[in-house]
Amino acid sequence: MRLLEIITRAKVRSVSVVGLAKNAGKTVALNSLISQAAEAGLSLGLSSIGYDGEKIDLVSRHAKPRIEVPVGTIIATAAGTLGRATAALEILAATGFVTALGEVLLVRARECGPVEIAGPDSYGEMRHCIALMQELGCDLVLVDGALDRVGSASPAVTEAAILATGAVVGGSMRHILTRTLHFAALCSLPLVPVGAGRVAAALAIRAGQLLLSTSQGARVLPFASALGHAAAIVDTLPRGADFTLIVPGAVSASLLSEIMQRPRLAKHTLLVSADPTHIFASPEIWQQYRARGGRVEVLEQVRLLAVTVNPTAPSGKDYVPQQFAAEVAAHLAPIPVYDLFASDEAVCG
Amino acid sequence: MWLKFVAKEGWPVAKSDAVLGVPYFFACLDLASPYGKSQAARLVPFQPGEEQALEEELASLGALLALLNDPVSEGRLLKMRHYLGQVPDWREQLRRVSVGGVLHDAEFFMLKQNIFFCAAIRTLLYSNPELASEFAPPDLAALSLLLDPDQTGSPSFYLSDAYSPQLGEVRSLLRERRKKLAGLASLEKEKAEKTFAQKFNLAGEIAVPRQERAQREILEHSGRFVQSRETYTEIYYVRKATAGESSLEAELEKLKAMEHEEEERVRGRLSQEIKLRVASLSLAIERLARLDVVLSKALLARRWCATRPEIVAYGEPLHFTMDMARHPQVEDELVTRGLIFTPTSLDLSAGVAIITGANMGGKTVALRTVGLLASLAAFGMYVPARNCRTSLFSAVTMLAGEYRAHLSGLSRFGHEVVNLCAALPQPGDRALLLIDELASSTNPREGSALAQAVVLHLQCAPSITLLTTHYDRLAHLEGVVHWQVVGLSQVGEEELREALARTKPESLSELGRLMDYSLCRVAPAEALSREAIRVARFLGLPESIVLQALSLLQVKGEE
Repeated sequence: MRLLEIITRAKVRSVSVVGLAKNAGKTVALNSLISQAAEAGLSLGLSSIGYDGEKIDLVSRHAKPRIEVPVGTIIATAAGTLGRATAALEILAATGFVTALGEVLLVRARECGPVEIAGPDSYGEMRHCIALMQELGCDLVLVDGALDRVGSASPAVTEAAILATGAVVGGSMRHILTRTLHFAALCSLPLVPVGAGRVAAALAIRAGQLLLSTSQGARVLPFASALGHAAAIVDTLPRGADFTLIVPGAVSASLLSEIMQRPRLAKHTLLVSADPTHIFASPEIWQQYRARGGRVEVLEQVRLLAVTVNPTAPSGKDYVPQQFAAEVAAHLAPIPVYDLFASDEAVCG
Repeated sequence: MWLKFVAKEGWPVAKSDAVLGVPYFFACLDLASPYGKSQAARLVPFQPGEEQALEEELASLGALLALLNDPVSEGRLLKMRHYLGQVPDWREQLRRVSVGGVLHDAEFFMLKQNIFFCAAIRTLLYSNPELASEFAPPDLAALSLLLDPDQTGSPSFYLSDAYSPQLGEVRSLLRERRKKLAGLASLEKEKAEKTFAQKFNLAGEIAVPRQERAQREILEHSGRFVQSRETYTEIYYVRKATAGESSLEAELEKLKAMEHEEEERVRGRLSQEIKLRVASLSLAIERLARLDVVLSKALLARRWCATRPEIVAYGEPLHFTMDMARHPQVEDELVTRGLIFTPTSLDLSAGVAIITGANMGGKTVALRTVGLLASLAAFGMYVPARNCRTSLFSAVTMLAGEYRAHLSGLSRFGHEVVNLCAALPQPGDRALLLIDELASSTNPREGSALAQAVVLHLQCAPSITLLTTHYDRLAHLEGVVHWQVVGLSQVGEEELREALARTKPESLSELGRLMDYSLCRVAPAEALSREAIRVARFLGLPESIVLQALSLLQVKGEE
């Protein structure tokens, strides 16, 4: 089954393509999806998300990914990138979101050709741009996630995600697999069960409140977020009894480490986060936390539709393509894996 | 400059308009468009002699305010305001195009948006023809047509083929050659796959395992492939373009360059056409800005329940009257604390008037209210009062004790004198000078003498001076009008004792409840009210100190 078919079967209208590292094959995945969507006659929307000029080469000031678009594609990109597109573009609307390369505009490709994309800087703005592109008639909106940022995969931004991984992600096959499987595992973290607890968690996260819930009741902890306050937060947690800590924003590695430093605290801990993209822990810390009985639940999961692999890395580190893809596929099953450098059909694990 | 800076160069600048609350008025205006914001920032008050122009300004504001009372017209005006909020700022582009600059596509698009919103606002304005002549931007239909040569009516912008037959031709050739190249490439790829029994990957490469030396040699010696990259296990080859493909590619490059050049020519021509209409565009921007400013004033006047000030004719003597006036900034601060503002009434003529009365009785707020109302009227704004009649002043200046004396390196007294020197009206000035606690920061004997001398000096100036003071003698000077805060004078001892019994922090709000902030005019020589000790007691000064002060006051009185 081709990658586009996975998306159409999932009945999603917005998909982010995120990479675990630079050169993991994100642009290849995007270009492949774009040509498949054009073949299928889908009306396509495109954008990219970037922070702090990640999308921009700091030397040349050029937005980096050049993506080939078919006629009719709608793109949300900064005004500053228009002059560098080869495709003839019609400016449809201004979004009011300003980036280092100017205001983000909605444009339509009147001729096919390569374009440069530098979309809005924040996930909230991206959500808005996606809605605008859908209003303009896009059947499918693809979002090029920023380097090392998986936030656009958040269900609050796009409905589903595709992960690009590859030889560049780690020094060994084991390391590559660990990082890839870690991401996939986070995507399917258990959901907070439906009920009063879920409602309370959703309200606290929306209000940006750190909420501690025990059998004695619930109280808001006086911290704006868990960042920078991990030790102080953990000091306020009860000992010897189960509790739930609802964390707005990031669940950081330091929070998990602090919990693990207190004897027998992890096994009583249930952390609740908005979605898996808010969990910033290395696979090692995550495994330790889980091994000690720590749990995490999310309000929403990330719908990981597929994983693409790039068996080569610019550093020269590479693998036999078929073996590499097969090994990743074997570990990730039933998530379909693609080596789009070789074929647009899924790899058998 | 109208709003005087009451410090000389080198001294810290203490702007009296900030003390009066003028910036608060501008912040509350909440302008919708970049044009309106810019015009408001350049607003200057009307000067003596410009009374007629001010009346016209107030009439415009009144007309919009009246329309806001009608639901249908209000809907239209709010829609206009919404459009004003959507207009992108095009002034920099206007400047560039007027000096021969060439615009880029996003700038043409922004102009199209400006034209679109101008047309929408124009249509709405013509529903009330009396407004159209003053606020309606000019008809920009010709420009609109220029930016929409296909007459699609769409707000989008595209360098359409309709701009130039050459552009259409080049683009058509480009499409045709691209198609031909794609067909040729696909054919050549198929042929190569058959000939060499190899499959291309999605990147257009053939991957050959390193150990397949024979296969590699076949590809390398065929002259049709070139190595693109290699890994430890595989070598990748890409197909060389055939002569036909190369020629098509070269042609495409040439055509792309021609398209680019023609697009630039079209942009240049469009920019030239726009340059011819710079005057209309400038007028449109000016009109949008004016509509934004006057509409924002009208909306604020409605929110503040403000009324039209009556402007004293230039030939008549200077005058200022306010009836049930409020200071919106102070009022808003009080509302957030759950308190109510007591409106103030006062009338002033050329010469000197003083306000005396209880500490914390609102004397400074009364000064600020006078200054703010006079300023608002001069800015062509309705005023938050039941009635207000005012002359136009050449300057409205307030000297307040709260100036940041500690930053100047001077003592508070030194700072006050420096500011006073700068603020004293020049001969012929029609100024409004407001002084809070004149000469109160030095010894009472000299302070009183200085204050009297200043008042005598100011009595000769053709200005209005209003000052707050605790000096008895000022009230005895001939010609000085005396206003007094009613304060706690109407509060009986019993009631005061009950209030005192309440614990802090209630006492402060209790003080506010008991205090009568209104002003009443008293006979010039009437004794100043003595309420400082009562207020100090209210604020928690130990009773022993209060009693001591009362007994000392009695002894002094007997002396």
